[in-house]
Amino acid sequence: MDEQSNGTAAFGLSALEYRLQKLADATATSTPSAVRIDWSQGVMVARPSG
Amino acid sequence: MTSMVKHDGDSYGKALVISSPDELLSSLPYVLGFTPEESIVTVPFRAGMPVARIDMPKTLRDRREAIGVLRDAYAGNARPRELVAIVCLTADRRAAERSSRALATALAQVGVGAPMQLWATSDRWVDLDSGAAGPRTRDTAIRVAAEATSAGFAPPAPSRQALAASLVGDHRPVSAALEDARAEAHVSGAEVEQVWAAGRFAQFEDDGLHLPDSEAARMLLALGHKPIRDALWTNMSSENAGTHVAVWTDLTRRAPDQVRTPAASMLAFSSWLHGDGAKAWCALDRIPDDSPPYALAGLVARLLNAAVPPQMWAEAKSALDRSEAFVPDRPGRRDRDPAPISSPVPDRRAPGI
Repeated sequence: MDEQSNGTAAFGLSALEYRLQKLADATATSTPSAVRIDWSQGVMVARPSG
Repeated sequence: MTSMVKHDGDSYGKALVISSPDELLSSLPYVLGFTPEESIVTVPFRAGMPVARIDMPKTLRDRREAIGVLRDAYAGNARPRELVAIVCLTADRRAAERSSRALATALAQVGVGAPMQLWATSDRWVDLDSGAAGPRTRDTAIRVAAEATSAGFAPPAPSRQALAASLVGDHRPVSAALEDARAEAHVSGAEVEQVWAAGRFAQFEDDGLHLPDSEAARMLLALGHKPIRDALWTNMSSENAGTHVAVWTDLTRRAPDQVRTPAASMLAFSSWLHGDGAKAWCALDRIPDDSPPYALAGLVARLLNAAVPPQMWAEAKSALDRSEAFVPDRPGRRDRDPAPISSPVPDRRAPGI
């Protein structure tokens, strides 16, 4: 799928969708699953002891 | 107890510093956005890795699948010698022990250690390794709540079901305004609507006030046109994702079925970008079952399943910016996409949704 000069991609994906698809393709797990993981970027950090 | 942590050059800086199992358990609702029940939660020991929650598996098959998914996600994202705490929130201690042990073994296979494994009920916690135990105290809960608020965490929903329910609102006022908005958009044309949508979003950024029903209807119709949606999407970043979450949450709640999918998809993406995976899933669940396949929704589901860090979007989008002087397509120039602004553009179905 090639991006085109007007910012769209072939096969009905816009250029942004195409970028998102490439990101998903590059990072996707091998096995699709119905299990949903709730990820959160809010973090907890252990206080150093002492 | 709280501090702001800037990690690895990104803007996901909200953090709670904890020093006891009780504090950890009291912090979970703020980090997840809701109070978890019957759940397994993994909590990394360093900033930069996300917290993960899954439903407590009910069967051996469910447990194997759930643990496999978590293991694969950590395998793709964890650094060498990553450490996590495993927290099992359930009334069933045996289920907690089995799940915790199996998950620790699976994570060890991908180089992730689990030096702390907790079983917790609503009023008590037990360290499954050492046998140490203690109460969950109201004093700690109050202190953590105050410090989480101070650190910028939003008040959590009382449950995941409540979080999902918060995206369900009264669609009738916007439904009533839809036909007039559709007629006006047909007259004004897509280019005018794109300029209006950008300006209206900027106004929301400034004042944070909910759109009146007529404007909500107009925005929902405009969002159904991909070039207009993409013009708003391309300006989304980790810095303004919270504003996007706010506006798309409101519109997802108020949208009738026939115009909800683009808004719910934008909410899902902005929630992911904001680091809130649970809300992203809840947004995807607001897409009507009988709506046409929608690429953005399917792609966000894939990102969530794969635990893709939202920090990666900036790099992915900058590649687009470098590859061309990207300007979202102008609606009036789309010869290949003749759909009128009042008709959502169907997409092929993406896996995962």
